Amino acid sequence: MAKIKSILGYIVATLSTLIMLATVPGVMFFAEPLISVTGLTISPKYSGGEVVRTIDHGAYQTQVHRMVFDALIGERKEGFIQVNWTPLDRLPARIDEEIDADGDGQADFRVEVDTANKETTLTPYVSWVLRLEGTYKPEGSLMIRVRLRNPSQITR
Amino acid sequence: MGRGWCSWGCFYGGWDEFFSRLRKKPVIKDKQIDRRWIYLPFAVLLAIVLLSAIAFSPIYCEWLCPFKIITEFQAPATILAIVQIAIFVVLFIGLVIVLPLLTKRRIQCGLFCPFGAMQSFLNKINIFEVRIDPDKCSQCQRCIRECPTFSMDESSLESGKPLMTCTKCAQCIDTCPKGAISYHIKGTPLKASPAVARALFLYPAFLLMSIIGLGTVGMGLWRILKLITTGSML
Repeated sequence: MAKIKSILGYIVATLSTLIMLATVPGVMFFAEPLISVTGLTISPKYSGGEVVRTIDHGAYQTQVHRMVFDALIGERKEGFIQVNWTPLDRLPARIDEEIDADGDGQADFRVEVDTANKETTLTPYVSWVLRLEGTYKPEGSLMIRVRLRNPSQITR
Repeated sequence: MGRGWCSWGCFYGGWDEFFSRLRKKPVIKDKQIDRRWIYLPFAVLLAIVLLSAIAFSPIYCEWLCPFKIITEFQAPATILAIVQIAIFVVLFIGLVIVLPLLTKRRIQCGLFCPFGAMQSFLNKINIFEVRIDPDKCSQCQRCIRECPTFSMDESSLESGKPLMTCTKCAQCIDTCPKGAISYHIKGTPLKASPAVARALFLYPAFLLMSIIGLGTVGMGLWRILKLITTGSML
């Protein structure tokens, strides 16, 4: 038994070098499929949630994500909605667009963005649209996040 | 590698290590440091796991990471950002520069870092460990004084192995005057060839160090060269 443990110990120790060789450089290749198998996904706090509506403007598109109120359990009182305009190099100098956040066919806020300097003006149409969180330019698109109060939790 | 990452891969730990080596002698001696501080990293780990789950937010990254000021220095555009920056600066200067200088120990690594605490659990299943040969040990306690992460104490000399927080840095191995401490492969006899165990550990350790470090160092040197030749690092 002691001899078997010893042999196994040396085998595992030797394999450590091979595992290190495979894992560290290979992590870029197989990390994503391995994580996908587990069912884990990127938190919508970072991904912005799924795109629920795409508006085609010809040269560019507006991608409206779902409203994010995710909490560990249930929903939060406040959250955000992310809107992307893509591709960045085909955007007009100024974007002026009304956005329907909750998908009821009615615009919930208007956003005006200077695409060069990211200067943004937000005009809420409903009380649960609170304020602009920020304007960003990640990876070839222009993005805004707008702070929202959870409309399903507003008591009248 | 278990917690060997801390000594052979972690670029943050490198800062601790650097400042802990600058002075010849410690100003704050080993006996002045309460050993109960070694439980703080586990408390920090538990706290940030719970708080992060509740807040759905990376609490450690947003509030406690001492290395934020060297990786992602944010603009002090809001009161919140200023408070966060102040916390990061205090933690970095205190835990990474001042205390390692004064104690000649890796204070951030040994007494604060929750990632190190998490990896300490991996030490339990890792095939490599550090062992003390009781027949050779003269109880001089030099290893206890030298261990940078407080992973050696009197109980280690009795049990023949360091605490689970051992980062396998081999400082105790190098410092032991009797050669009583060595790398060991679990399952093999205690007195099995330490040279073989050392080689089998150091191969993956050096590989890890090279893969993590060389790319970063190479990129850093390239950017410095660009700065000198073109005036811009980008």
